[in-house]
Amino acid sequence: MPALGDLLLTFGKQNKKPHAEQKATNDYEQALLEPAYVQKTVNPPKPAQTPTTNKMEKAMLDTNPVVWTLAEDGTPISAEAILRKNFGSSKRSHTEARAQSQAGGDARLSTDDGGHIIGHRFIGNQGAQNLFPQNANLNRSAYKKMENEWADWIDEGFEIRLKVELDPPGAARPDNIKARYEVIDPHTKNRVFRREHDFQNQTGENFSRIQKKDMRSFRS
Amino acid sequence: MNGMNHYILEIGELIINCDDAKEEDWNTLTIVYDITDSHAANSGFAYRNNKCIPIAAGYSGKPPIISNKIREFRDAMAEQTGKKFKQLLIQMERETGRIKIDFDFDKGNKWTIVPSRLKEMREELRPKFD
Repeated sequence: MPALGDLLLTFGKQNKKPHAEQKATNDYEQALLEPAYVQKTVNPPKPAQTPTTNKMEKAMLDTNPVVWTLAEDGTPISAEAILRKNFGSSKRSHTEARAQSQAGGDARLSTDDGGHIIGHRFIGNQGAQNLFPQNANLNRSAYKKMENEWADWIDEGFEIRLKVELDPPGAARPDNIKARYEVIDPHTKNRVFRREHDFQNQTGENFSRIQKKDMRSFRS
Repeated sequence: MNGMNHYILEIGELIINCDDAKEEDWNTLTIVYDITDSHAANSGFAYRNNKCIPIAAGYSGKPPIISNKIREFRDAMAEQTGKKFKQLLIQMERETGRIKIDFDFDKGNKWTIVPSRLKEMREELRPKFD
């Protein structure tokens, strides 16, 4: 039986140099509102969407700005947002409900919902740019728990800065959903928590969340 | 564990080059990776002297390559040991280029960042290579 204790290895010298000079200096919010960045495409399932063919769409609901990167045909690739308010559950418009029922088109599986990339409770009715075919169990369980956690952070006075990416980029039905977020204490502007979730677009996903009662412990 | 070192080095290379590791100035870092067959999540800290910054390992604009590599490693280990780890602790020191990893095969919460003990956790997870 091999040992299962901790392992120690040494890296090559090429990885030892400091990266201070690479520190991000752009203001996050400004970057969101000024979409200078382009999305790389990796192994797209259909003809490659070159970065120049991607489109950016912006929306703001109250103090929550969102920027979507869309493929040329309008398929969402990613969304970046700053969430400061949770508007709770509200009725979807007819247009939104129709867009949800059609998300994914022919690629949509019978077990899929039209899932919101950024929860409806944060950004309201945004139509197809905020929707993708999402396994219903994932949408209603693990992904919802993540959104519940974001809502609780906001309710406790924190701010969420997040990026959700659908992989492969431009796929009619993504295989993976990557959600990376940071929790900011608006009083100090310090990042108090950081997490990345990589979901496969299928049933049975787990989600272990920070409980609301514990969130105040993170104040910087 | 025979033939596993290349996985550890590949995982280390991926983490040291990930977005947060490149953005932050650090001496040591720790990442706690929770992994199942279909879901992965990670959180950690970058340390520089007395500063401790929350980070997460990932690449913008790419597939989930770290999670995929860790899942490969987990499956390869399981072939040898019959057990799949549920949590992986990864610690790195920039100056010496060392990486240390440890596994939780049990409940998968051995190094979970517990809010009620946040300050203690930050120090408990601070890499110690001596």
